[in-house]
Amino acid sequence: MNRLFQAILFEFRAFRVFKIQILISLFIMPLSYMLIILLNTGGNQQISLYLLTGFVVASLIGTYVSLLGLRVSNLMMPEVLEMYAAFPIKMRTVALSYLITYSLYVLPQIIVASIIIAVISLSSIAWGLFVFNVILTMITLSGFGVFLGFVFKNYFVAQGVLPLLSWIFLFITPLYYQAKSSIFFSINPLNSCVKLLRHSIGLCEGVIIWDYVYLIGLIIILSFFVNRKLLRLYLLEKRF
Amino acid sequence: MLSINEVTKVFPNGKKANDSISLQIESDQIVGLVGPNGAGKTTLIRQILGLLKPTTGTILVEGNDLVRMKDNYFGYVPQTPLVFQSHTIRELIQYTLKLKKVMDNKKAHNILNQLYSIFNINKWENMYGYQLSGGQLKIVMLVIAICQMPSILILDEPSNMLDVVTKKKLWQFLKESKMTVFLTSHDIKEISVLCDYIYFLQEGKIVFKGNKQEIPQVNQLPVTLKIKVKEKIPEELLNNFIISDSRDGLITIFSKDINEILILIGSLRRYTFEYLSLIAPDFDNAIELIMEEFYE
Repeated sequence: MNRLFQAILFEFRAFRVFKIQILISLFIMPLSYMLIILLNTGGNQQISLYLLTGFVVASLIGTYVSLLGLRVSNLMMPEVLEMYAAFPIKMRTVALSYLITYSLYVLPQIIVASIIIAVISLSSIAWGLFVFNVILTMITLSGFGVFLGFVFKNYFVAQGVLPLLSWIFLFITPLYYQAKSSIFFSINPLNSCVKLLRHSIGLCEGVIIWDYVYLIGLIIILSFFVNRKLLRLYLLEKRF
Repeated sequence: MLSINEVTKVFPNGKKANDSISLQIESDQIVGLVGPNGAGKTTLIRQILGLLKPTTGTILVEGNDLVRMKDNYFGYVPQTPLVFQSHTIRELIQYTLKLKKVMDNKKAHNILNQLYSIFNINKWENMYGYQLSGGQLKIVMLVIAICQMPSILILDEPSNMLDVVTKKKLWQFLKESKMTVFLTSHDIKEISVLCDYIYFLQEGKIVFKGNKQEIPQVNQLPVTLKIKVKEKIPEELLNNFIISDSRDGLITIFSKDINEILILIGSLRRYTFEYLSLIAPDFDNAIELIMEEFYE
């Protein structure tokens, strides 16, 4: 635990050098984007809540698939692995510290969006369920980000592919647009994430049990792959 | 302490990087691995560090398989120093001590103080990684590896990038520290100063191993005799020897047979010597000879 804590502190210290970039990407850009979304709803409560839940999932996609995925991909570069071999820390601790750091990194956006959701919807939120669904979404997407980081072992390729994948996820998931349910949306796990969030604030009717089953199943599969990779000693060997 | 037994590494593309390599590193020994670029040195190090899996063979640390090692056993300095760019050197060192849980360990602090003083780290400990030169980064990596007090220190070309003075300070520290070290190098001086035992690697195979005395090339090198006498030496006396240019009457004579040289000195007794020196082949020359052979 101490090593994990030290590794998280270490990651946060690294952010000092990028403080202006972080201020822009963590606060100014997302919050101004959220403001634009709200201004476009014309005060309609239902539409505002719909778009804000979409914003929460979109923020998590950007953080986990793009940023965390890239960080893990960078970690798997031979020279970076060699550098870490110089430090008394295991790779699974490093990867977990990345995951927690980026979860904390995205948290302010999620909290601000959640507060606005609470203000708009007043009493119709099942808070316990909403928080649980946010956490479930975070676990699913972080697992997905780490998995993608391992798949795209070449950091230079990942730099191009992962932001593109983030954009594709945003495009194929009804985060900012309305869509009728279809098989196409059903197989997209991000659709389940946003559906669960909307359900917990009373926006979405219908059966959600299969969305839970699907996400939990996906988390188990991703955890299996990630653990298999991280618990392996020989990290420079060809994976998967 | 570290036992590498018949280790072979074949990459998925079929390239054999290591071929039945066996080597031993005993406690308090400095063992050198020498070989041309692409000989398989870094692949072997990566297998020792557990980053690559040997295709066949075993690597045992104190009789245990690497998979069973619970904690970091090695201190490691890669050939090309790469450190976190957005942390100060002081933070990197503190981070290492905290991870290793030796923040309050007196021995670790003594070693650290010693390293600070040797390399003058105080002057630049508050600088960030991106602000340092290659040599300074190398020093940081060395400090990070050494302050962990590892059981075995693995150094991939340790003095590469260091200036002559810093190099000598490092060598002196390593010699005096009595640490167990496994290093790779292309630097003849470094090998001759530091190493107790040497392995030569070529195309993935160990082609020679031995300590300084066991290197066969030492015997192949000529003994050098330098003499200056008042009188002229008859040519027939020197016919059997290789002689280099004589200047100011100084004659340099080479022979692979020390007895021939001693006989020559005996036969020159009646001459008046102004200068005489006899130089036996040394370790540096032998290493140089071996390296020249292998690197061609």
